[in-house]
Amino acid sequence: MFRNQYDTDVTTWSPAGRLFQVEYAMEAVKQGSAAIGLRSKTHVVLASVNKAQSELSSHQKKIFKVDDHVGVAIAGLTADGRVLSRYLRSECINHGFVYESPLPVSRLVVHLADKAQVCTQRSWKRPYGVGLLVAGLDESGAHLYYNCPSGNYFEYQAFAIGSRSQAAKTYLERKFETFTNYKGEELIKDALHAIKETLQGEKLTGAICTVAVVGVDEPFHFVDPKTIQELIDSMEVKEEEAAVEQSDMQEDKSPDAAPMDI
Amino acid sequence: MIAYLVRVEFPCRYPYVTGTSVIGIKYKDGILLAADMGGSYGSTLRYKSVERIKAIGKHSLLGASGEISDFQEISRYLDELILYDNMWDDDNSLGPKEVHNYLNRIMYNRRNKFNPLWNTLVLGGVKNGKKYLGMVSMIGVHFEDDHVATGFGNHLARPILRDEWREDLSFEEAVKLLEKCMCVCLLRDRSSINKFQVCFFYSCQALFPAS
Repeated sequence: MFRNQYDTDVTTWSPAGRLFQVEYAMEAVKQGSAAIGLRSKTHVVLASVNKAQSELSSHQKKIFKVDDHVGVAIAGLTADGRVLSRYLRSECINHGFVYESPLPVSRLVVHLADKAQVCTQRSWKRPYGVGLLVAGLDESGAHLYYNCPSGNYFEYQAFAIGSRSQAAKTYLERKFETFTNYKGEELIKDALHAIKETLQGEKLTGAICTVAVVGVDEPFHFVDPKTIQELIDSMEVKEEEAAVEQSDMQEDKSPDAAPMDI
Repeated sequence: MIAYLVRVEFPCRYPYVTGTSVIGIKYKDGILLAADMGGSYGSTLRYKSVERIKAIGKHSLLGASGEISDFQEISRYLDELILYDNMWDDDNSLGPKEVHNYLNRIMYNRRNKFNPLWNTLVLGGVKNGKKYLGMVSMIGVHFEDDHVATGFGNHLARPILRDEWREDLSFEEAVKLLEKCMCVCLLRDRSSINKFQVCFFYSCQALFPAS
């Protein structure tokens, strides 16, 4: 009875000036498991949460290498994400063939955004239901972009997409100013912290997330799960020490204070 | 009866108006290109003020020997390439390395159609303080070097350059060296003429066609 009349077609405007189908596609991005990206002047790190569809299945790949200098992390429809990363790969290869030099990241994302935009303006198409974090390095330094199903793209210092990404975003908003001169490993630690925020209590392990880095003198590559686990362990040790120290300090400061209810 | 539609292309089998040697060298602060301004119709010295060196974008210089009209065609391709590159309106621009490879793709593609562009091209430039000097032949052979020369220059100028070229050549020394090479070419290559251009390119990215 009160069905939305304006959402059966991508090209149909609502009287309020909205394209509902495009907005639904952006909703699909929020449903996917989280992916985050963050950068310093020289490095970019992508990280994602590996979530299996069912108990019996393995998880789907969420981070793709596009070229030696570019990689993407996706959230939303993985199938669409794979199609788009294949497109990105061929763009990079073609540019490499003609100019024997890597395609600047800012141009790559414009190609990608244009491709997504076309789907919002053709009645026989549907928008891609996937958000992409494009991380890359070129002559002008390290870059992180977010590409949206609507055809919009934005450059970020750090960003998170997918389910419960708000928690990661809050973490990144608090910390991004310190990233500027970080090397790869320091960025990975913060990436893991941000990923942890999206898990909401679930234990963070090397097996539950994928991490990839690209940076100066460091072609795009995935970080070994064992290395990730070691980093997580070292982080946890530090956190425990800090917690112990803090409780010690509290005890020292207020020896007379009545203990909280035990 | 089956009718076949065949596209007939007429390959270029020989050049008409040609320019002779181009010489390029690196020096301390950039690269230099030199070429005379003659255009020969067969062995007749028909034209006397043909510019055979051209600036490509912000970072590159192109010198061409061989068929002049083919060079003009290549110039059109490159002007278009640079125009579209500028239309991105971002901080990226094609440097000499990219242009060199692009030219090689054009030359090799045409050779594979048995219709080569009848030129030997010298491409030099400076981008982000990095000097670049390379050559592409009409059949798509391409390489980089510290000093290059096309056509007769390969036989007349390069032996001199091999003896006298240094990495830390100053601008004045480099121009002198090129003048010497051009002089030898003028004396021994009957199709060269006594009017030439030296173009230079140095790290502050300014371009001055001189003498």
